[in-house]
Amino acid sequence: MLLYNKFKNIVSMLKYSFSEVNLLNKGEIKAVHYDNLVEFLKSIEEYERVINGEAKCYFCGGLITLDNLQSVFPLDGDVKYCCNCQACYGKLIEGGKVNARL
Amino acid sequence: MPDYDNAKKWMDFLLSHLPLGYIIPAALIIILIIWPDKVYILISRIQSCFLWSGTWMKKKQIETELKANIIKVSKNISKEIEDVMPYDVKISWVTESNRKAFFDGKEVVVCMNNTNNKMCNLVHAINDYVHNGLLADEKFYVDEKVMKSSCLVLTRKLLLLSYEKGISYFFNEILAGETKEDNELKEKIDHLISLDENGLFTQVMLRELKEKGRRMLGKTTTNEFKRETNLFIDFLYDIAIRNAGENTKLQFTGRYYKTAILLVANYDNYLTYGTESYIKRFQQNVKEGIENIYLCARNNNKLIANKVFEKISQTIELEYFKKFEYIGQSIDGHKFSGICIAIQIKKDQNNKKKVS
Repeated sequence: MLLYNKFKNIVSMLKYSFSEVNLLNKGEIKAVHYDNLVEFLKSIEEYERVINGEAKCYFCGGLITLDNLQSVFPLDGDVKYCCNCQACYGKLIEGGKVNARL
Repeated sequence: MPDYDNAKKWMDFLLSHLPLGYIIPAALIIILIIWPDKVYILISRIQSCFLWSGTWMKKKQIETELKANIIKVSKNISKEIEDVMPYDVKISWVTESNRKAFFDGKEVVVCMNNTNNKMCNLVHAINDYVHNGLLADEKFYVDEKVMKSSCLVLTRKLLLLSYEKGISYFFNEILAGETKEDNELKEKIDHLISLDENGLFTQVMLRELKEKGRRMLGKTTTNEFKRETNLFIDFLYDIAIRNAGENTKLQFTGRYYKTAILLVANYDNYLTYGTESYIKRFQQNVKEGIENIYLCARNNNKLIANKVFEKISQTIELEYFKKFEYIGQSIDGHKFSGICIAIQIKKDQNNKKKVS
């Protein structure tokens, strides 16, 4: 089971690394201010998921709340989250497709 | 006795002919050109007094603060090497979207705040900036571990230079996490920190990686270049950790890198032979086909290095040079002031020398 989970993690990391998700597009960071977070989540139809405790961090699997949400990104037709844990954010930076050459 | 009457007349003349309406905007423009980061920091401080006015001001304050720090960081790095970070970071705020547009955009949306995680915002913005901006075009040709360790060491350096408050956060939360299970990366980082403390990281290593990587653009065979880059970094590391008087290889002649380090380290040598012995060694390097020579000295020897450089520039035609002064740290922990002068020899002359 442990080995299976590890394998699942590696596959998902690889999928993320080679996905078309951009952290920085032509030197532009897309950001949402915490004041507008609820509005933003409602607009992408994800608010209920976060409030009901159904949203999980893509990297550590931890529960996502409005207080610990660091980033939101689309992947494989679903909305994924990254929590404000530094290790997870570090993985997001590392895996984020570098678009510097565009 | 000073001529006060005359001085008053001059003052009156200047005030009547140069109205303050022109002087003040001109002074502001000059300040903005010379110290843009300081102007942005000031604006950000003023904005933070008005955060109560609403989300618009809060967003503006985050933007200005990030901009100030990125400009400060860019200025620091471009003092040592130009074009290594040809990047600016802007924030594009989103308030509302829709599911389809969010999926089509394919972008990560980062949550930002004015109060919580302020240091975290800045350290990560600098970290992002370095990861995305450093050797943006050339990183494909550099070994992954070398690139990763370079980014981390450069972030450390920039934080030390521009935002020291964030350095312990960076060490605990980013660097420690990155190196916890990767001894090879940890070793690489230690090596690059040694290079940095000896003025060899940005001025020599990154400059060479940038120049040689640029020549590789469009080529598909990269393994040999990556291998040679690793050997070149080892060569620089041996110089960085050498003890006084120890003999180390000071010339690297590979397929891609043709570089030499000229150390001005022995004051007695200068007293006995003057600058002549250094100039001879420099000319010897040119004859042997070296393209870039770095003239390095510490403390009192900086003066000699400048004299040597002056003589060299009078006798040999140079393509380019850049002087860079830094505060370094020797292996025994003592701080010193150092100079590193990057010299690129004109190619035609190099060939001419080889023929003669």
